[in-house]
Amino acid sequence: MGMTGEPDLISRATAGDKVAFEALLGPIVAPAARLAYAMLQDRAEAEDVVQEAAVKAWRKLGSFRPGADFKPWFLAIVANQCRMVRRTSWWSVLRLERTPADRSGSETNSVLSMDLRRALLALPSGQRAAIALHFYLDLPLDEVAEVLGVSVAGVKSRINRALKRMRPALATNEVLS
Amino acid sequence: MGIREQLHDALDEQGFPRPTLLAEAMSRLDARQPTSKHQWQALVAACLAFAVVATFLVIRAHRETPNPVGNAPASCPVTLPPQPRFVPPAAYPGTPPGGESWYGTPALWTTLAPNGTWSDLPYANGVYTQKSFWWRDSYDWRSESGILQLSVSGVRTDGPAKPLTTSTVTSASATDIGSAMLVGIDIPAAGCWEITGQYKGTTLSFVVWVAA
Repeated sequence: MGMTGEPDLISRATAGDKVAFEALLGPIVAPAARLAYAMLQDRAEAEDVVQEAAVKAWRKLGSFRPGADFKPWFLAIVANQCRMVRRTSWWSVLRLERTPADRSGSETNSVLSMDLRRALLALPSGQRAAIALHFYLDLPLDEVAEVLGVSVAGVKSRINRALKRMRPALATNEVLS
Repeated sequence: MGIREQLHDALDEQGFPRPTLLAEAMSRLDARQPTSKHQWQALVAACLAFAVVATFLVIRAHRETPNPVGNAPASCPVTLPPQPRFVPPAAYPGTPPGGESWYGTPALWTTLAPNGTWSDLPYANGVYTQKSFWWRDSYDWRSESGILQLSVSGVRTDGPAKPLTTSTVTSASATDIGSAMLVGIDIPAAGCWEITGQYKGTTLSFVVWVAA
């Protein structure tokens, strides 16, 4: 469900109104950045991706389907941009700007978190996006399906396959039925 | 603890995203009106016509000037892996991932891109950005205190260009590459570049074609 006034904002943005576009983008910049971060695990790259996605969205507004919701459309651009970054970046590298001893929080939690991040990063991008959208951004399955351009059954299948692969790094076992 | 909580524990970071992200994104929008469907169709038709002409011109150019190194023109003497290839010390994999090749000596080595070409680099704010990785035998990020002593520079050899700039050097580690020194480089123009790394008295250079 789109937010109140969204069709009007989309119509104005499509006509070139940057203020309307900013009003559309404002509420979803943070979720978009979190999705990009979950996909890339690099703060700078994630923020770059959101900026690049905003530029692409602005340029593609003319092809926006009337009546559709802006949020899943924009998140789909972000997810695609993340896949491109992964293709063009060099390798998947864990940056060590701080030593583990510098990090706050208990050592056990740090290790668990590191395992989970690695497990997430090792997933194919489609599965990683599904996990991030559903469990991290709390999107319902039908919205995840819209973002990823697959059926709800396809999303469930991706999530369950991802959870199976991530199981050694997870403290709990969850399965979507 | 459920998956949601675990993911938030693992991924949530204070101050992310930065509060100015929306304003920064908005500042990057061009003044061009969003493209309409008809404009898209015209654009696609123009692109197709351009692609046909460009393909013809590229094929003709290749016939006239044989190009032995992929995208790099013959005028750019890109560094290709020497024979026999450099094999790093046993603690490192025999070949790097991504189709690249090790290049250098145990005192300082890096990787060479396939065909000596850096292509599809992200381009923003007038520069191409690339991550450059360097290794030294026995280098261990845990024992390297303070500012890393690697310096990386670059000069364009086929035309004028502003100097290449680099980020602060940091450490990087992954299971398939071991401990490495990592520096981000901003390349102000496409073309033929000689990249030089210096680390504790050892110098290593290579020539790479930066594709537009």
